[in-house]
Amino acid sequence: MKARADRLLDRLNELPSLPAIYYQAREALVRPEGSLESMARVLEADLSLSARLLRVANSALYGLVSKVDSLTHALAVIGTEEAHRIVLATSVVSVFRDIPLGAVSMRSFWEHSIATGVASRAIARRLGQTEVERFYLAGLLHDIGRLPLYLLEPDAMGQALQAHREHRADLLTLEAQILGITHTDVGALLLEKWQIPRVYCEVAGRHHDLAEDDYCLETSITHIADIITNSLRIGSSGTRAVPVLSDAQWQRSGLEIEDLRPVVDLTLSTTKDVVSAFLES
Amino acid sequence: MPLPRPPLQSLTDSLTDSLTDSLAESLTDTSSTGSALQTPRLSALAFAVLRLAIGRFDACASTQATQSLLQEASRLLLPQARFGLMQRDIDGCLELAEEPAEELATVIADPVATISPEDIEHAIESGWVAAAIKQGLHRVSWRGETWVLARLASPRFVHAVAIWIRAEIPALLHQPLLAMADLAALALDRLTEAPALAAEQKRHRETHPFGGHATRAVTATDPLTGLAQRAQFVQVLKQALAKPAVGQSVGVMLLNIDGFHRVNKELGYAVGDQILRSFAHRLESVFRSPYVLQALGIVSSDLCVARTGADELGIVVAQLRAPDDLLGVAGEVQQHLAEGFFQGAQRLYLSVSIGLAAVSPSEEDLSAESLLRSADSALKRAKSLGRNRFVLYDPVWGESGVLHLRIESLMHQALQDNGFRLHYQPLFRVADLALVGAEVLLRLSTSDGVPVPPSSFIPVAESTGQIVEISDWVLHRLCQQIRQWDRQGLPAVPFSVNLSAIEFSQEDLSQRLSKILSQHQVSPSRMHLEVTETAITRDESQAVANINALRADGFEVWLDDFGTGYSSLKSLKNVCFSGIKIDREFVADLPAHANTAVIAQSIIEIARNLGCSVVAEGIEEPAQLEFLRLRHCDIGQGFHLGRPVSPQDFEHRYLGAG
Repeated sequence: MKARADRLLDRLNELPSLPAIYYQAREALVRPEGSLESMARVLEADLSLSARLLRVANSALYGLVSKVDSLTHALAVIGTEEAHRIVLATSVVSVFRDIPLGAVSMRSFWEHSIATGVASRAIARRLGQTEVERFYLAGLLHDIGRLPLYLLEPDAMGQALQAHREHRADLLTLEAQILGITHTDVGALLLEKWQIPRVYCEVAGRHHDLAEDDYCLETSITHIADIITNSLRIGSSGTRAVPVLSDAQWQRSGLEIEDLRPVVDLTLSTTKDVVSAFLES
Repeated sequence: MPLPRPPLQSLTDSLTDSLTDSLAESLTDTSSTGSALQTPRLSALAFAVLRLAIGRFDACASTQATQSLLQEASRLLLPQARFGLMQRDIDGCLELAEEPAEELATVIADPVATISPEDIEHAIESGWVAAAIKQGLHRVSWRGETWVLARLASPRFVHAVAIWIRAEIPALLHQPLLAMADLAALALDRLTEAPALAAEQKRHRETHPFGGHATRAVTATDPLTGLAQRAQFVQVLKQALAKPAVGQSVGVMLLNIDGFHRVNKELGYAVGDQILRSFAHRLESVFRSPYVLQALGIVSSDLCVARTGADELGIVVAQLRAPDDLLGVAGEVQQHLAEGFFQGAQRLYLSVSIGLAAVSPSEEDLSAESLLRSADSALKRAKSLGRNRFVLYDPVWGESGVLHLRIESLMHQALQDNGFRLHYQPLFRVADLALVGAEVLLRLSTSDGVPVPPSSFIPVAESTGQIVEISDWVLHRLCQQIRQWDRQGLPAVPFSVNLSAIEFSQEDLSQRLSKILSQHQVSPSRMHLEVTETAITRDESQAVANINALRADGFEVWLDDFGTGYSSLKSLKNVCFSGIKIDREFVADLPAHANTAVIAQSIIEIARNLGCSVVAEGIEEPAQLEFLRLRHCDIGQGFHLGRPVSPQDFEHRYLGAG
């Protein structure tokens, strides 16, 4: 079992990697003379990515009052830090968007991921957090570990999904039983490999953890957002069950029961538009 | 009111006679007054029921059996109570478990015996269900009735909540009811435990041919896809149609993967099954989405997703707001499938055709059969329009259905009383315009002499299968004609006959033809057979085998309408034809249109290099004939050279008779 898990991790490089343009854009940002213009120049080289960025910037995710029509304008409005996140988000989605899966459609997978991002962001805003877009990215990437499982172990995952459906068995447990590794571990490793900021690795790795611990806020908020979107049944990354709520993570988030209603409403009203901004051509 | 009879037989087989007596007595007692319970007797009954339940819960092999047993046992304890079980769905929602089939059918038939969805709703809204989940047991009096709710749970999982409703439920029974709920929960726990290995599941499925663990619905589901089966689908449809809501429709969606038989054939049934399962899974996911439900204006209990055929899935949508809403959802479904499937290390891109139909209660024909037929026509139309699309049934099609029927009976009549006619269109050698044969064309007229074009009746004949019978008639008639002209000593030219796709997919085509010709003592060299590319693709391997057999028997086989099918060159590669007929489309624009000229010339060259002769169809102008003559096209046909005519005219004009 251990060997199987190791083999799977060895094969992570068979997956498509993030486009070079993401790393170039990131570099353009950290250079001392780095500016929005230089980043915009990098991004403009990729027409489909920049078109996608504009669509996302104009979507309900940001709720901008006036429409932005150029990349420079978009970057100026949303800021450099956020520009980095949005480039990352669109890159990840476009790399995997057109790869066929099995019982779960890629579209359904991204619907769930995007909805979780939207819910995370809504929670963070509710809690008065600043820079709430990092919560969107955290939610978007939380289940990314499922993609390597579907693509590298299609038969085993087919089996797991079948057992999940027929016996109501918990999919996370089935992953551990059948593959010896779960999507949370794989997700954290994959994001590390991509050199994505550590906080997102923790979210991917620990969003199902239940025990008392020192979670970062992104993790706990994503934990709850994941439960909300699974109950709302917006898309699915495979499971049909609502994940178990961790007392510790709930406490850590600082949410109150009364906060849930507005979060749910905002998630329902926003997600559809964000999904089409990311997925439709 | 008569006392409902509990299924004593099944549960009390091992009880002693005396115990049965006391049991029956105590049951009578409880029902007569509901209060004067005799404690010793009750506990004897309770223990007896529990003792049996312990043994039998353990032997339950499915959640369905467990639920049935719980229902049986509670009926023994509380015969006149309404009983219901709210099962926890996989995603945490509680839903009313569907009624167990067969064994309890007699009890279920009494509508008083089960609680209604309204009861459930009330229990949830009043917080009683939540209280039961929290405390284990919750008792409440409401509108002169006592409600007892018990949790079926293990430390790991809340499986269900059982509800009993009766005028009065003695407190003495609380513990036995709770104990029974616990026992049932233990059994369910054991049944729903994740089996670590798929091998175990497989073994399980082999011992239980109908899927073993029926989890959600008590009704047997389709073992492959986990969806409802056709029988249940039809039943749900009938129920939806039986209680029509004003201003709302009932919709049906039928989905069929295009060319699915090829997946099975080329990749094996195991892959085909897996694809179908993934397809079902994705379809179910689409219909869980709040946006999809919202688009249709329904809630999830208005839906039934089922496997309605070998490779067909269907959905009933009750309480549909507007039929057109189905179109958007069909588009959504296609998006989820169009991205393809990753299966057995390969990527498969499959399209799906969808037929949609809906009726509103104001319409006259509200039968399930007619709605299904409409959805099926829509599906067929989606297929015939080129697949990978969705089509909503339009009632005006009923008209063309009537026309279809009329043509069918017209052809039937024509076969009976020789109502078909054959016409002959001459074929000439382009070089010197010598007669080299004729194409035989079938003509049909209505009883009042109005001609019916072949484009109307041939498709009908193909769909009804009459085409084979008609083709037999044509061959016999032609043979008689050939014999007659031969006897008159007229030139012995060959005649071309069109054969259908259906005939080329039949195994005995060459035997059938040889038999007819030998019957009339006509040589196969006198008959050229024409086949279209589309006819070959229907069942390619069989068509190729037939063509080879026919050529071996001495027939010439010509490829008709060349260039209009989607596999033109492929058919030339795989099949050895005697000749090729260039479709009229490539002749019509000659000689002025440059591209057409190049294509026509290339086809002539390809044919020559392959050793086939080539016929140009649809020659209507002298300039076209001249162009073809300069390019050494072998044979020409068309209005410019000669229209189709009756046998008498053909005989006089072209065969030089009398």
